[in-house]
Amino acid sequence: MIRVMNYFKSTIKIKLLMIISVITFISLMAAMTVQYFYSRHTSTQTMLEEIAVLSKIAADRSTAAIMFLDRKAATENMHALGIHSNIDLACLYLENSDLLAFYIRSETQIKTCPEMPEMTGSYFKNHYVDFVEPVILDDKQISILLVRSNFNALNSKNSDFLIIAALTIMGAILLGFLAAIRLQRLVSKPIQHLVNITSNITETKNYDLYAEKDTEDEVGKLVDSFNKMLETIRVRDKSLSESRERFRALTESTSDWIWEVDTKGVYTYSSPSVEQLLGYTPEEIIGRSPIDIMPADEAERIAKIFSGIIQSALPFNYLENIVLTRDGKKVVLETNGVPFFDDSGKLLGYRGIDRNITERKQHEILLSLQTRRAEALLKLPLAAENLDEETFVQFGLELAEDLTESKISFLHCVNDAHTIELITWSKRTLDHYYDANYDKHYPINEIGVWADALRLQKTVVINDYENHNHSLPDGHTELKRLISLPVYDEGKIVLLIGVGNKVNDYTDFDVETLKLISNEIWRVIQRRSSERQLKEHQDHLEQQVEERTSQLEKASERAESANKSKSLFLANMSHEIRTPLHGVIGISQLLSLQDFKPVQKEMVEKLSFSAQLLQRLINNILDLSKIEAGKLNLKYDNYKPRKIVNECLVACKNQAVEKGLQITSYIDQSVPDFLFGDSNHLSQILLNLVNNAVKFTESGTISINVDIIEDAEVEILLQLSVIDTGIGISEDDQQKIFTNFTQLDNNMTRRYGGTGLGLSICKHLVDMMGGNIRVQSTLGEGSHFICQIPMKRATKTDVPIEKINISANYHGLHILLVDDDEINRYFTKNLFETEGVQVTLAESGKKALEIAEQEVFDLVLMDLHMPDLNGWDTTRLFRASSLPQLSRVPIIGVTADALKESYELCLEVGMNSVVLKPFKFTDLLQQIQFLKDIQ
Amino acid sequence: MKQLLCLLFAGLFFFSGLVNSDYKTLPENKIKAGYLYNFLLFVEWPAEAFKAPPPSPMHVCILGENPFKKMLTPILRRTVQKRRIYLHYLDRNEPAQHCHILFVSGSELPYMDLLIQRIQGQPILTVSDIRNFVYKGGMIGFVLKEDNVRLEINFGAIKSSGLNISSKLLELAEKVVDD
Repeated sequence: MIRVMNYFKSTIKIKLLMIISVITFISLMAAMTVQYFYSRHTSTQTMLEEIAVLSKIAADRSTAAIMFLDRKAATENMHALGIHSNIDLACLYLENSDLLAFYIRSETQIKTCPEMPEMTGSYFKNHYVDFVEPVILDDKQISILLVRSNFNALNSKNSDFLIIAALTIMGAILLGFLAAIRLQRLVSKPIQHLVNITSNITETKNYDLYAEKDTEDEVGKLVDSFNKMLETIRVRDKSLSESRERFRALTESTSDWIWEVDTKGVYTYSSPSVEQLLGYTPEEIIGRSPIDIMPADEAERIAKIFSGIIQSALPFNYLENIVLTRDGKKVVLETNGVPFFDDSGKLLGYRGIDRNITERKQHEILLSLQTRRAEALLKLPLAAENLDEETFVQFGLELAEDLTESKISFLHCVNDAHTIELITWSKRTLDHYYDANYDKHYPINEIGVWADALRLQKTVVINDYENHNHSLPDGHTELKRLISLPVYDEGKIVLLIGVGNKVNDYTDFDVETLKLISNEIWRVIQRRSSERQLKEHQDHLEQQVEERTSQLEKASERAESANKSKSLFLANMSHEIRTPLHGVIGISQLLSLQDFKPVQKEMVEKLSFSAQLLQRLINNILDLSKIEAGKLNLKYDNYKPRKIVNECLVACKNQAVEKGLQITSYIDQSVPDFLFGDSNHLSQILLNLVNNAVKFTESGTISINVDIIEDAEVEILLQLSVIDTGIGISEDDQQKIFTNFTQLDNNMTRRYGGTGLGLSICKHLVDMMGGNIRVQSTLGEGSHFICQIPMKRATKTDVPIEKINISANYHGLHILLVDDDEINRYFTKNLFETEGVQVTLAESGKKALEIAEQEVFDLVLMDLHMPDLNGWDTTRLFRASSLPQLSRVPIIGVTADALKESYELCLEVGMNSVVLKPFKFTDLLQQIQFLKDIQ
Repeated sequence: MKQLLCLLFAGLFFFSGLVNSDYKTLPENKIKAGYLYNFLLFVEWPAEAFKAPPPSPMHVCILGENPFKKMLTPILRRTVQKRRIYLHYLDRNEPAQHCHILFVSGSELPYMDLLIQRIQGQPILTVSDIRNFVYKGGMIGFVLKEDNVRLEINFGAIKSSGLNISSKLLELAEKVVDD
């Protein structure tokens, strides 16, 4: 150790000498050692290879000797091995371990051959090596040869080598030493010069010195660098002093506090501004920690944060903290800091700046309070929509509590000059601070200081409640601070609102807050009250409207049902009207067959005509009322359109001829022979149109045209046109003529007669059939009625049975006629008897049953509307009878009741068919013939 | 492998027993029988002496009275250069052209000259224990010396018959004649 120290202290000269000597020695030693071991290894290797080869040769040479057990020859071979100076022993064994021959060097200690080795190979021992060689003949091992070799020759070689090596090393060190002495002069002299200058600078601190340069080699460069370094130091010195000056000026001029703390948080530097900020001088601050000058709770908080910062060793920004000034005032500081480290990266502490943000902070708090207050004031009316009044008021009170940091709040309603009524405490007050039952009514003169607001008519702020007169209800929490505030409406105090028990004193801001909230509460309360009134009013109106509506509905229902009953009445009346008319027409027909004087005959004709006119009129009216009552039903069957036109022509011919009118018809070839549709009503439409034309035409022609305008496989559109040369219809009137009860003027009614129902019925019927009807006309020139109705083609199978021959013979037919009306019975009997039909009469159903039981009839004609036993019930009894002449006899219902239900009921009770009164006699005969044919 | 080695050693021990174990006490014929086999190892026959390459066999023939009794039979289990070994016992008039080794028994002494003449120049190694066999045209003769069976070798006869004898065998010979 001491030697090493000496080495470091010695001069470069000594060091160079030592280094060169040592290096020379070590490198030569290394080279020699390597050489020694290498040559030793190679010579050993060579020797071993020699001996191995010799062993193999000897083994091979000995094969015959072994095979022929020639000990002599074998021994010669072994001795031959002894020529090699290293071979001490050679033994040749037979397979059975017997020794065949051997050689032992005489100068060795060895006496005999060892036991035969079991395995072949080379075996190195300390002083010798054994080669155990197999003797192979014809691929078979026949024997084993052991050859032992020593290393003697090698060892003598080695000692020579060592002597030469030692001499070489010594010579080399001597040479190296001499070279080193020369070398050191080159290097150490200029370095010594530098050393002198450096020590001079250190002593004098004079950096203006320069070192002189002798050479341009590395030492020369070193001198250059040294001079450059001196220059750099001079420049840095200057900038350092400048920056120090700058820093000082900055720290002293800024109001921010610049500081430095160590890792324990203790100030190690403080700028002078701390005095202005905290009242401490920098000297007082240094050695303290920020924690020392903070309020207790803040100190705890900051200590935690600071330890986190120290652990992270990261910069921190905008850390707000509160410290106390020397005279105990709170100051809010905003601190920024960055860590600083030593060269090894170990944290030394933090440097940073503190800024006084106390004022800014106060502004922020105020701003946030204002914001919260504004939000609350917005929230309040919104909340009102979903809350009942008390909950809403409580909600408002809670907002007031929150904003003023109060613990309790209340709202009173001022009833009159003497009492106030508590509306509610805040829920929080009730839950936490008030556990007594409270009276809601307080006489003003009895209550405590909190009602001073009422008595003094102004806001009362009390921050020292204990110094005041207080009368509080039992169970009321103790009051410490209080704001009590009156709310005015139209100059009168209407509410008294209050908050209390803020931790700090109440400020003007709190008063303002409370005022705003109370006003808002009052506004909402008022608005709600007016809304409530409005709503009540609205509800009342709605109710009235509902009542009126229901009255109207009832009235309209009544009207409708009245209308319906009217139609129903008319429909029902048809029976009552038709029955007597039937009689009149029937009898007038009978009369016209009698032999009368010409005067009488004319009278009968007039009677008959009038009766028929009446019948048509009644039919029209009834049809219309049926249509309106929804009782008219369409009945579809197959029919011949040409026949319908012909019948119409026949019906109208007389009238037309009488007026001197020509009436023609044209049916297009494309119109099929058979169609499927409501032929009765089609015929009625046509008849109405033609009648109408005849009625309003004085001279000229009436033509009927039938055509098909749309032709499809199943459906066709049938067009009926009726063209006249009559008075025509003005364009305005063309709109009206299809409405009910319309003739163009009263004059016309008088002149032309009629109900004006014909076209109206046509329109209704065409509509029902899905068609349309219109008119083209020029006043004074004539009218053209066009009616288009969809029809179906009749399929072949639907073709009806060809109607009966009217001239068929009914002689001998025996009919039972059941009718309660005497006139009807009379003329029907007469009509039938003119045809040779025998008729038996029955005036009631009961009578009919009695007669039918006695006598067999071909047919029963049954009136439906009869007193006691009506036609349907009679038919039922007929059908229920055990007598075949009752149960099997064909029955035809005769009725003036055109309602569909009646017709269906007839078929249901067992009638075979129904004819409508007043029936045409021929129709009845057709039915009879039909039934006869079936039978 | 181990099994193969065992087998090999078993064979060796058998053979060792035959040639070596306490050889002085053995009857000399037994040693001679072993030597017959050894000749196969140290003498090289020309290729035309074999009908085919290995394992085409080598033929060892005993002419005349057999002095070895059954001592030769172990030879049949051996191989030389992968060739099997066949034994043939010949009468004096039987042809011997196929033999590689022809042992001429003492009983053939009267006919020996004729025999040598007959097979001269052929690659047949003639062996006999007849006295002065090598001087009479024979190739290898057994002689007794100090109770050991030694060899006399007629190098000239062997060479002229196309055979090649190993120098190792020659080294062992008591006498080498070049007749």
